[in-house]
Amino acid sequence: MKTKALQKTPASRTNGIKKLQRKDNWQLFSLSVPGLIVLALFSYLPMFGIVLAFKDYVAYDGIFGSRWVGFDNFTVFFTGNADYFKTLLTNTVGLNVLYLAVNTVITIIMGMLLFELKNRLTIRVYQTIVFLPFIVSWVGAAYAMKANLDLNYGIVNSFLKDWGKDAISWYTEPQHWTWLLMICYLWKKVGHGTIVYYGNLMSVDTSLFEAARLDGANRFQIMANISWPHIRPIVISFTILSLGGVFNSDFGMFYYMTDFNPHKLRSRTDVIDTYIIRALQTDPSSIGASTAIGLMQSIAGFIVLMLVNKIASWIDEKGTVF
Amino acid sequence: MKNLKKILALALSLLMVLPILAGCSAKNTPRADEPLGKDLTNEQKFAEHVTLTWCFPDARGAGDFTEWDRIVAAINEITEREINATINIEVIPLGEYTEKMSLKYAANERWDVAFCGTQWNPYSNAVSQKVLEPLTKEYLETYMPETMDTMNAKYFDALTIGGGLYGIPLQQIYVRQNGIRFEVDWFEELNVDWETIEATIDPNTPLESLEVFFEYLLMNNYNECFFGADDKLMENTSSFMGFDNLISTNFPGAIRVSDGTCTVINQYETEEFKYIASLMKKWHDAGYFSDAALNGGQANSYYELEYGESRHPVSLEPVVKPGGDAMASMKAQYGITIKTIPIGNAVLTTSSVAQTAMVVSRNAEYPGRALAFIELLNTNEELLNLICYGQEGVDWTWEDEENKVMNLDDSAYPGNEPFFVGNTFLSYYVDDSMIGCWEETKQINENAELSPLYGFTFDASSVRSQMAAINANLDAHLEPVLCGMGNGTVDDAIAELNQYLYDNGLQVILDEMQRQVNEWLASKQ
Repeated sequence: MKTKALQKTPASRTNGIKKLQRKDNWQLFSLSVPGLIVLALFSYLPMFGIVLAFKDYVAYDGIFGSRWVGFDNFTVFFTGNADYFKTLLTNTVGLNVLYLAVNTVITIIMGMLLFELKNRLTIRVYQTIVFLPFIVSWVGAAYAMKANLDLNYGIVNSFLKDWGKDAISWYTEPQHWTWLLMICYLWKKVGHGTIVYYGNLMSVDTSLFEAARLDGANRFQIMANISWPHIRPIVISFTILSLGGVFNSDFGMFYYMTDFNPHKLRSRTDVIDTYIIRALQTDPSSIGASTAIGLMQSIAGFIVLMLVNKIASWIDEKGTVF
Repeated sequence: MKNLKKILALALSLLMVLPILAGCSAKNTPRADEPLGKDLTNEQKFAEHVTLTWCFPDARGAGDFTEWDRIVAAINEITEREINATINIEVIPLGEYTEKMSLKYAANERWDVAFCGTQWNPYSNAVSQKVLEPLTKEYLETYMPETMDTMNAKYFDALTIGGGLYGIPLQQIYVRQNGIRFEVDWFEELNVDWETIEATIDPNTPLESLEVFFEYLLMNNYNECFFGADDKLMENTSSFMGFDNLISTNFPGAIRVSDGTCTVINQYETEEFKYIASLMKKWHDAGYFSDAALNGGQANSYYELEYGESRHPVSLEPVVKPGGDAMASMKAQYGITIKTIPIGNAVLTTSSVAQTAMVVSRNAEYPGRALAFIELLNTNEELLNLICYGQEGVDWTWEDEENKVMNLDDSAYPGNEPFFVGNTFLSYYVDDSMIGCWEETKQINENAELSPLYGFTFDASSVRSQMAAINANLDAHLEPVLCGMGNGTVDDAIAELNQYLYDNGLQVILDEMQRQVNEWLASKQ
């Protein structure tokens, strides 16, 4: 938009240009209104709910009428055994970072590979296949998982038995779940990232590729020297934003895919969100406490985000979020 | 542009503030003035036609019944005739009942009548959320005269919290007495009759005397799990061990009923618990039940039957009742005959009475009429049986009308458990062996020993953090011990469990419990 306006009057910034921009852009602005409304409704409006973290919420008294309790709600999370918190934090942050890293690498590769395809039909087919899991709910996926991994009737165990091996009791042996959940995570998330990076590659000036090819560059050289530098800023931004949620986990995945996080699997699969739901299940004042924990996760995530953003600015100025 | 910005800012701030204001206004809805007074006639009380919303815990899938509309129409025919009210039944599957009700509370949603208990939609939580209508004497006498006349006032004590009453206990077996449940068909196959079973059980060591049967089944090559072990062992043996639990059967904190001092103890540190835990380990090691017990694989027989899995010849039962609705429902749903032998003492505790109650919403527009509807569920046997078993002549027929025994053989209507709906003593018998058992149950309730803590409800608000910490992984530490699969010896396993409990602040909870108990005892004197 800006470039277009500037091209028309390359002189300098005057009031005239600003007026012209406004005239040109109000239609474009109006397109963003639905998005802004959604943002306001689901991201800004609920922020008032933060007040509940400092209150003993009683349904009948409402948000304003409930009693202030200071930081009482925050202590709920810190009363338990310290050793278990190490497990919780290791699982939450460790698994998040691991899955994020693997996911990033695979989406970049997938995005670039997709870009190498020239047949439009094939591209559409691959896009659809990788993207489809993104819209499947974890609850639905959990049933598919169970059909695969059930001790007696599961597909995987049937194969194992056919090959003369012992069936594996997947839902009671925690050691498998680090990579099982990774498969789930990738299955669901890779499609989305792939499409984003692929879309980004589409905007590269094609003459660059033609020039490289004329100069005798092979496909890998093109990928490494044209495609990768082009998507690097967006990869960095995406990673920074994802790291902001490093203390939050995908509750649906950790809870449903593990068959409600049974206690035998918890050493590898228990994360802050699943812990909290068990801890507060019978607590009538759980709204306050869960808001407090959500707030702590967000603040911790925000700090991480700022730190990573700072580090990223030393590496590549273009990729930073702020 | 400036104007646009202003408008946008205004719109956004309005968006943020409006819902909060809306949330505040919900509780200020004007309420109809209902006539009050002992001597009012029905015409005076029910002059205006109203609609009541009833949150109905659907334990057996009645709401999915193809002809549910027919049942609802028949229900409304009665309520419109009797109390001039149409009942809007909001069917909520039992498994979702607690969560759905919590959401209704949090959102200040409109409903009128609901079921509350200790296990589903806990009564004390609802009271602490202030969402229940305080039931004044005036209201009760006007709209529930018959219930007030017939029900022993001591049962209301169990639902009195902080001096206020917010619910009506549903009449059923109140006494907690654990029992051993036998699926008689199994034993008949092996030519063991009921008399032999009864004679074999030694009242002093009833659980150990079961081992004879297990060995016998083992000898006869029954490759099943003979004993229905599961993670509900505490619920099934708590009164046998002589405890009255302050929070729940699984949560540490109890008193010994026989001990007059009301000393709060951690039940997992007692000899009684060690005895039960050792027995489970012995039985597990002897192969009377399998490892699957720990994974819920062979949990409650009810649910298993629904999924068509194995049953158990012997299991433990939380509450034994004459005739028993467990028996009724097994007969009605699966055609299985079960019989029970009670073990331990029969005691009346706060939670045993409070486990099933009906409550009125504080948002109810017509609290009097809501109470009148609860009165109807407590007194009108036509209505209760219609809800629980369907229409006479359509869903069931009389087998013995004089003794109120019905024939459910061709019934397709799943119905509901009477204790989720109304007065169990009004429900018809489903088997002729049950004749007279409601009268017997009433007597048991009346004659039961009162727990020294009867009427006391623990206020957990000051120890929430410790409770949350314990609750988070209590199952992981407790269930292996209950299923005889703890690490090492029984002593090791119990020590590990207690280590976990004290690491997460149990002592603070026990101290607070004792403090509240002492305060309560002092206030009684």
